[in-house]
Amino acid sequence: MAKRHKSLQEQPLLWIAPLVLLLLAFYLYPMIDVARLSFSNATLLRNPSKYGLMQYTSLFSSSDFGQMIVVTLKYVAGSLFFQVLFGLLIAVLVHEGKKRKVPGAVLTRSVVLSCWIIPAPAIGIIWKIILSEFDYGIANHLIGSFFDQHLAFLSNERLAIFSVIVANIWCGTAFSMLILYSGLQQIPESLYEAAVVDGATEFQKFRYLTLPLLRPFLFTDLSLATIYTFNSFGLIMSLTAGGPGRSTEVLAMSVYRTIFDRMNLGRGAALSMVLLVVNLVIAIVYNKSFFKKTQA
Amino acid sequence: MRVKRTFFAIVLIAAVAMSVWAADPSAVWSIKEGTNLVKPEVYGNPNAKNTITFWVYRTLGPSSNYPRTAELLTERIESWAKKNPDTKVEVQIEIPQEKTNEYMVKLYEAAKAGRAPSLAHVDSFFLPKFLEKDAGFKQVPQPLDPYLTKAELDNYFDAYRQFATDENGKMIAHFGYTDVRVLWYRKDLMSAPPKTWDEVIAIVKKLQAEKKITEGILTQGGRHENTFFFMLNMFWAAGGELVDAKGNPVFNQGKNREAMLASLRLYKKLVDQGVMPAKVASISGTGDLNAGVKMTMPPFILTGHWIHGSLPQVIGEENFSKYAMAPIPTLEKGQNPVSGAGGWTTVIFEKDPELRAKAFSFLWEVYGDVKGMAAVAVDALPTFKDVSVDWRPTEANPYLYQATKMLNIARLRPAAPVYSDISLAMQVAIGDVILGKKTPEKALDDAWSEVKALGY
Repeated sequence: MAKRHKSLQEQPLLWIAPLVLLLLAFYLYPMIDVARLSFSNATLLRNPSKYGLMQYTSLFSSSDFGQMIVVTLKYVAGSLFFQVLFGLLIAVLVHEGKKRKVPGAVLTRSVVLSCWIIPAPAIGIIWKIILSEFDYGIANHLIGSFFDQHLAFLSNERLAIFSVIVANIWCGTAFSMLILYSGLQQIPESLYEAAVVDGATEFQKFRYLTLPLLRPFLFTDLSLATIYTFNSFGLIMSLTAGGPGRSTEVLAMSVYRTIFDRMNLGRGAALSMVLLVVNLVIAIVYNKSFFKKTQA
Repeated sequence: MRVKRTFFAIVLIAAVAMSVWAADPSAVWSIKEGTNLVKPEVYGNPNAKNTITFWVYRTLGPSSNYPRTAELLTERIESWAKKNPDTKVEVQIEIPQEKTNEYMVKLYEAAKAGRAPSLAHVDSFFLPKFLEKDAGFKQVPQPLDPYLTKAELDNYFDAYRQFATDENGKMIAHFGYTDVRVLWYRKDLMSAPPKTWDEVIAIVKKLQAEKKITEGILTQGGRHENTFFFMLNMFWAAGGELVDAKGNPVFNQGKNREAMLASLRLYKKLVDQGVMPAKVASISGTGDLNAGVKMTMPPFILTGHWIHGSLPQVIGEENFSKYAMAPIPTLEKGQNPVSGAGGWTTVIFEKDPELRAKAFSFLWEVYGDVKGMAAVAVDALPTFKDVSVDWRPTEANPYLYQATKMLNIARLRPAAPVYSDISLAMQVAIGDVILGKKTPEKALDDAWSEVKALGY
């Protein structure tokens, strides 16, 4: 019996091969190269002459690194918590408003989304105008009118981190709202009708129906927002430039400054690897916790 | 047979036509009437046989945001293109102002890979890095000396000539324009500018007591090169040096440490005594500074001469007319003031001698001579002595004439690769001192450790 030649459709490896090659060439290889550089003393001007753990030992023994990690965690945690909270709140309100045909519900959604469209550096500038310590600062103008005081939003190290978090929440909320709003639309109305028949209150409907059914969307939102917040710094660059001192310098910004300002490839690569590991750990934690609960 | 004859006839006619064509380059490399000679991606005859490549800083190109620069450079490029119909300039990269760092890194990478353009604009702040021997550059800045006369070389102010001269004594860059750091003072509030910082403090205290002002002095104190560069003027005037003759950092050693500490202590004193608000730590750029000035019209602004271009638009011509510029005060009486200077250079990387000569002809005819300098330096200052004698590129601008006088005390940042690392570490140190987060001693020691940890 003659051997039957497999058709192209029966050979998935052949289909996948181009993509695998592309991924290897444009994603995996650069990542491996960054890992290699992180163990070297390479700068943009000098090729590596030494390999070892020196970048990591110097990084982990530096007091600035510890401060940067703390700043990054504060920035990410503060941004994410409120971004998701406000995103959920607005999504629920818009969703309910649309269901009940409340005028302006769709307009509200569009206005919130417009914050997301604005580029991060522009958002930094907008917030700089709002939070400026000079008299033209809108926030200080209002505070001054009521309390005859001014707050150093951008030059006090404690307030500066608060300022960048607020600005990031302002633009990130729209993203969370978009994801969660699309999730809300997936929940069948019949479930809510059944809950009403069972005598569920509005809170019970939200707690036992909406939240569990939104879980995959919350997971997507949290994962993407975490990765985005960890890796972005355009807003901080234009709002505080990492200052005062280093009080708003996050990991991603330090990678940029180390490579493009200091031209220190080795150290920049080591910082990138730290950022990669942090992202991976968080992605794994999210994945495990969400899937565990979903399976349970 | 007939086919063969026809074929040979065609070949013969073609050969004759080609030889005539080649014998008269002007006939071939002439430019069609109406050709746009200054397109964003190519300058000159688009069909020219020679191509030189150019990485242009947008502000210094025909797309400059200064209309006068754009217009004058377009005219000059057209003029060069008409004289050089056999050569075109291919604009490979046009970099906006905010992308300077990325652009410079890209240029380093290109030079290391041997793919640098024929000529490029280079921020003077980054030029010294091209002199690093261990970098393994396959292309390095080419000497301009063979193309310049002695008189032309001597015409550069010494500081600029020295800065752009390599260890072999060759000039490797054309300093297209420069700027100086100065103290702006309110001439309506004082009869003469202060010469020392003690005088500044005394004037501010008196004006504050008279309730004529609230804030004494504004400057940049955020994470920005200028934050350090402004302070550097006092450090230099006090006899401090950042690096030794070999380019190694020495700013925390001996008298240099004392000068740096004195400069940092000055900032602490200014903040502690209410002369300078701590909020300067949030001022990173000229835009922030101008906005701050608008609010309080302080008697002193420590900044660059260049604010004459932007500040009047923010505070109005009438208010701006109250300000005048003076040398930056010194820490102690008897010290000579210094004015830190910067600017952009143009560098030739072309290896091919013929194309290199073409690149130079473009550089000099567009940017090089008196009119070239006038074209790019709308708000800036010339680096040629003869041009600076009465420098007023626009009639309505008396400030440039005053600023030009400061060129006599101008000093450039050291041509050492470590400079940018010192600056970055010291920007953080200055911010920490202004905010009272660290003592001047601790801030300086931390900055020193940071620079030394980089292997210098």
